[in-house]
Amino acid sequence: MQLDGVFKAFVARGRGDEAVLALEDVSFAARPGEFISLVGPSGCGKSTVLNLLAGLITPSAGEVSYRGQPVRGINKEIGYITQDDNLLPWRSMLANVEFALEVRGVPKAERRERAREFIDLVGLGGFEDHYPHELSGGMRKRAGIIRTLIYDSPAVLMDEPFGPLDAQTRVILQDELLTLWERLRPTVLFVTHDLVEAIALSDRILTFTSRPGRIKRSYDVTLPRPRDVYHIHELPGFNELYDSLWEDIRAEIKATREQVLA
Amino acid sequence: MTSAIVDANRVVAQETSLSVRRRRVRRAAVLAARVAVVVLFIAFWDLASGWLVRPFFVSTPGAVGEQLLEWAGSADFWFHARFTLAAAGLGYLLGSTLGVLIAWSLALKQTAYRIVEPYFLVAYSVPAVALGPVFILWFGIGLLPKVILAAYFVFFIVFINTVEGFRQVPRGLVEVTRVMGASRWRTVRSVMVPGALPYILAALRVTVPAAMIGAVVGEFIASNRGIGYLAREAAGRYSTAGVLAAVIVLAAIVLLMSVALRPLSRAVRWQPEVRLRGGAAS
Amino acid sequence: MTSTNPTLVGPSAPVSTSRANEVLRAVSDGTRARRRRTLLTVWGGSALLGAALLLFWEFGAGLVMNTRYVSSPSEVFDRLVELASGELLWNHIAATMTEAGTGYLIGVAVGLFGAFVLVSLPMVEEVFSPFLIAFYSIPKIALAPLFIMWFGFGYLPKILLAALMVFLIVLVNSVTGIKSISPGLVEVSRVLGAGGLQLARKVILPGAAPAIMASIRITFSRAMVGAILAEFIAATEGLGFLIVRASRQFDTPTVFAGIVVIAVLVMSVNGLIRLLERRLLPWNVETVHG
Repeated sequence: MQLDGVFKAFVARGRGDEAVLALEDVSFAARPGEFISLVGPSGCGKSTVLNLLAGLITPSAGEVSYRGQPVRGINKEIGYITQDDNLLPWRSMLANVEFALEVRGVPKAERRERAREFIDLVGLGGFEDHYPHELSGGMRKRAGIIRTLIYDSPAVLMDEPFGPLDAQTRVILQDELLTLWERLRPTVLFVTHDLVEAIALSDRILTFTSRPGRIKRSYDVTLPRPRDVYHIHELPGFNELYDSLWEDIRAEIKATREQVLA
Repeated sequence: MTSAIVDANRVVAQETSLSVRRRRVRRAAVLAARVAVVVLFIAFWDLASGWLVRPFFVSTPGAVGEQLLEWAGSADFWFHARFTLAAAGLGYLLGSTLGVLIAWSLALKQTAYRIVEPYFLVAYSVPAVALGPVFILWFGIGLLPKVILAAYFVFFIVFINTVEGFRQVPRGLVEVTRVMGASRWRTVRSVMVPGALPYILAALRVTVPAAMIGAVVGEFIASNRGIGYLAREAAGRYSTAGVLAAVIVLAAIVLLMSVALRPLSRAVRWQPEVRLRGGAAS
Repeated sequence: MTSTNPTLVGPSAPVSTSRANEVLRAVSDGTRARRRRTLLTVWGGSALLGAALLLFWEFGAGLVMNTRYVSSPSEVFDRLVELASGELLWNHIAATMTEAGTGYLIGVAVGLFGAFVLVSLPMVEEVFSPFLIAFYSIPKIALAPLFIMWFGFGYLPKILLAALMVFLIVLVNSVTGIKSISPGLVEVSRVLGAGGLQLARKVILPGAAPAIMASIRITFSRAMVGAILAEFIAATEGLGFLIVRASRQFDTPTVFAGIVVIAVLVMSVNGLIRLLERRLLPWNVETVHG
């Protein structure tokens, strides 16, 4: 996964035809199996980075490449877990988990077996026949995550997947995500607002400036793995990292406010 | 400790039985009130006729019942009923099929849809009733103009709601499916169509009365058969009982059909009820 | 253990460089061009399609059907001009609009009143709801012959039928609208000290207004349907009468001219109501569909 001097500008709907710069000169490369978090103030273009890699939008300048090839059109070799769980409401949980495999032509017996395995991994057993609206928020998230991880794409994009969850469920899901990640080791690009979450999960954290989004700094997180997300904040070095991340973000939030006021 | 738990359990049990009983009493009262409304209405109708109003205006429940009974036993009536049902049924099939197919072929093509949209809007705002005489003019006074009028009534409601159904499928759902590796056609089949289905099915359900109305309007304007004709003919003879009986027959058919089609909405039990555009035409 | 070694990766200073400006300009221009192209396609396509339809009607329709029955745009236009210059058409319009308009106003008023009664007396609503649902789904226009039998050939049966077509839709949608106001909103307002009349006027009415307005907007054409249908059956004036008499005389241009007039009337009134709605409820972005 690589972005090379990427610019992205949009023309907002109903805002005349003046373009707004969302990303400015963004470059980074992810090593295979690396867990990278993007943090930054709201509206700084973090999600735009994910959409570029998924091939849902094209860069205005620069190049986005995936596994050494420039991304052209929808990137079907990548997993995308969006903020909304985007489960198909008319499919049972099991059928949702199987959906990607079905689309990819995996035979029925095999996909059923794989789905059951993943469902058990996140403790969703017994809820296979429930429709999404009958599941709790945390369960829907779990289903959304495993249905994307199940097809073993080499890289996964995650856009604030735990955003709407309550604090306790979040931590539990972070823990489960780490277990799954250790097992499958995909490259992950993870967008979040939650600094603790970023530290707990990532190998590397990129902070973004407010609009236009530029990469401000890159932090290597060298906390040992496997990590215990429940006690992550007790590890030495956690506080220093947290403080410098927060310092970065705070400066940007302040800058945004001054921009708005000006 | 234990006694506190026992107490708590007792309080819960008491509250439960109380609220269950209260609810049961309430439900019985509502049911009784509904029956009373029907009985009182019929009794009042019977009493008022001849005493408050001339029977010419409201007939009597007995006369209407007699008329219904007489119809039930007459082959003539069933001939008329069959005609109306055939017109409504064929029109319903024609209108809903065209509505779904045309909406489907247009909804997925933004530009094409925007090109034809103004014409659909204009056609939609012409009260379909006004076209009745045109269809009669074109297709005579037989079955065909009624079928087409019924189809026209059905078509727009189905069309508009099918388009709306496709439109409200969340973009994220489509995008995520595409990234998962689904082809365009597969996405249409597995995401767009099921996503639009609640709207389509709801439209199919509310257009049943619309089809009946189309057929009956056609019969009102020009016909020598059908239930609409029966009503008009009864009105011509100043037979209030006949008109009321015809209205009751129509209402009964529509209600029966609505009930018969209720399983349609249960087929989409993953989604709460949808709000339709354009409203029913009844 | 942890080495937090911030590495500066991006440009260090906010360089809104020439490169950024270049990108912005390119995207702005590109979007402008694309929008212009789409607009051109859509408008051009619509115009072409309309022209093609009119041309086919004018010259081609005769090949499919006897021209006597399809008339032609130019004939219809001539007839419209001819009718509009006389007095008769305006009398027909006045008759239909009086019937539909009066019926509409009565229907809306009674519907709103009924809704408030039902909402404030939940027990009554529960008792009557199955009857309302049944009445909602029966074809009201089937009552047209009855009304005409009762009230003769004048305005009254048309007004009543128009009102009946409107009344139930407004009633049902208003009840749904009032009921769908979030209980949280009502509770918060209660806590803030609003009660009784104030609550009704400042929270419940505005909260239900979008649904109510939407039902008021979609029902005018139904009032027209009621009036026109009653005119089809028995009338001595009105647009419905004009159309149906012309169709019996195989006077196709007049039939179509009448339809055009009806369409224009319905669209104008709908536009007016929409304008009113925007004036009254400027905060209401997406209106509810009934």
